[in-house]
Amino acid sequence: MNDVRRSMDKLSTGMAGFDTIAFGGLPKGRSTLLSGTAGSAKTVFAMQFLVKGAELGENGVFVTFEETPADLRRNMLSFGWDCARLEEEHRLAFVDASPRPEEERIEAGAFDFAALVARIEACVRRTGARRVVLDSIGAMFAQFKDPAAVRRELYRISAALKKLDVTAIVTSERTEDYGAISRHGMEEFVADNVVLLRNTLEEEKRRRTIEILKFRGTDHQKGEYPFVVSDEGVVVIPLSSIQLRQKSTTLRIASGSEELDAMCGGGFFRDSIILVSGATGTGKTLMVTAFMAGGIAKGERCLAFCFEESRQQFFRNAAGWGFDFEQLERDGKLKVVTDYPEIMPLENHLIRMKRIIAEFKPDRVAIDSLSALERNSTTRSFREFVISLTAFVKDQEMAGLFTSTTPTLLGGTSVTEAHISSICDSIILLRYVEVYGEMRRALTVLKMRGSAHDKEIREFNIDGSGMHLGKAFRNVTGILAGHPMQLAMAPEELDRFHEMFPHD
Amino acid sequence: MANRYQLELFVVAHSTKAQRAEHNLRRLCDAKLAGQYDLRITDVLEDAAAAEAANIVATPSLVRRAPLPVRVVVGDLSRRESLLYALGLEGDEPDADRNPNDE
Repeated sequence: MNDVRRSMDKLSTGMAGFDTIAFGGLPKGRSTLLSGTAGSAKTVFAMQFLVKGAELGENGVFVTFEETPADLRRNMLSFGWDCARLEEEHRLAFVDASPRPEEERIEAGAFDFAALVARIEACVRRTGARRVVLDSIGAMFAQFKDPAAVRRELYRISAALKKLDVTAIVTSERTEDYGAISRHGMEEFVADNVVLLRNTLEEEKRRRTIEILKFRGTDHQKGEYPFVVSDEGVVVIPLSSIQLRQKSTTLRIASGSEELDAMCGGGFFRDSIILVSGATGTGKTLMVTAFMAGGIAKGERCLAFCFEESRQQFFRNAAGWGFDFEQLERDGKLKVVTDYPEIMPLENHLIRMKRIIAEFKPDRVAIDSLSALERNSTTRSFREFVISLTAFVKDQEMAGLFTSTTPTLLGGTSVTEAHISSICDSIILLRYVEVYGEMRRALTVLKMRGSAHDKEIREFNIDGSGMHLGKAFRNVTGILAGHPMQLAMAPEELDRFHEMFPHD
Repeated sequence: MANRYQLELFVVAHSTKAQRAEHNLRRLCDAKLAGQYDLRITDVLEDAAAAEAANIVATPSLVRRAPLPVRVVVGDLSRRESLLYALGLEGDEPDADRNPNDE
């Protein structure tokens, strides 16, 4: 990405996620066709390109063929973009080519778009604009009857833009998310560079993606990347590009339980992701509580996202174990965010959680539980969410503890784990074990990347003072598979058996 | 004044289309609206601001500002019926302000 050859011919859009997948931005001094179905956020993307440009000191001209400037000014306020102010400051200007409903337009013979070109040129010169948006050219086919003439005249605009040496986004409609690039064959208009926005329905959920189809003569990420339309506009989530940049450390941090620290070979690693998996009631929330309390005791800032319980419940539970989380939150050492997973799409949760993390700057982050978030997403979105969030957390050199709820009480794995076990550095399993007609809890450290760890399945007790790890289940087998069986082997024999397979 | 036609023709000066449009327009107006119209010709390359203010996209464009409603005729005005309709001169009344097609 820092490759000079890659970025010298690109113009940074100011939209971080997009610039990442575009290896620096849009091809400089050229036009890019931005095509998408109705409601795929073309206009938002295009306007954001100009607003971000204005922030970077590059003025912009928005040529609108469909919506009136008044409508655009009003609509864009919801993203916090004050077009009117930018216009007053001469950093943004509209060229209004939207139809006026009070005017009747009649065609009577051959025409060209010289007037429009003259207006665009005059506006670009007057404002010194470096960025231009045409939104959307498909509307011209509705305004004028002769499609051949419109196409010819749009080429004229394209040529004029090239001469002005501006970087332009030209939006166009598609009828399907997977089909012809644009209606009216407009891809030829700016065939060099094509970006597609999609808004598909998958498993009854909306999923927005962006794909750079081509940038002539310059490189970019291939394939579809998810994006969201948040209250800050379009946010592209650049997945693969963030995966492998993480540093790793040998710094250990306290898990909140000395016994568990010992099992893990001296605590969790600082910038690692720990997955705690277990059925309901096995003690996942307690692990989160201990993880938070353990961090605060060491002077670390802690942030918890709870999607299964209310704040009151979470605080009450913590109080039951002797932690005054309300006070700690008032002291600014802890922040607890509770939400229903269903209030927004997963992609929006991701953006929001990243923002909260970036603002609070915690040393530890916990999510209770990932499974609750998974309910509200497609398989693919969920996987992308986990990859993106874990990468973000690690990049900030924080420790993350995520919980996952298994669907069955005994044994079993959740879908959540299937998707994220390879992403997590450590996995801790909490399981119920039936021993002589009694339900007991078991804990084992299944995986601890980069460190030796205790591989025993230990008894796990919860009482008024929190969590306690007991002895290993020596005479029970099949715990993890969900079919615990008591062994008749004498304890001495069992010890001998264990000596045959020493730990590490 | 109330009955006068206020017309503005936006063109790229000296272009073939401009000459054709002006010729077609003057011929028809002189035949049907002699002494009843004001015509102003604007070169969009010289006065882009005027084109901006009038929301002109295509050239040539004829704007009929009066009588109301405002009508815009796009093209070199070679299609006589369209031009007649745009000026409200279709049918047999050469100086009709109103016509049945108006809302």
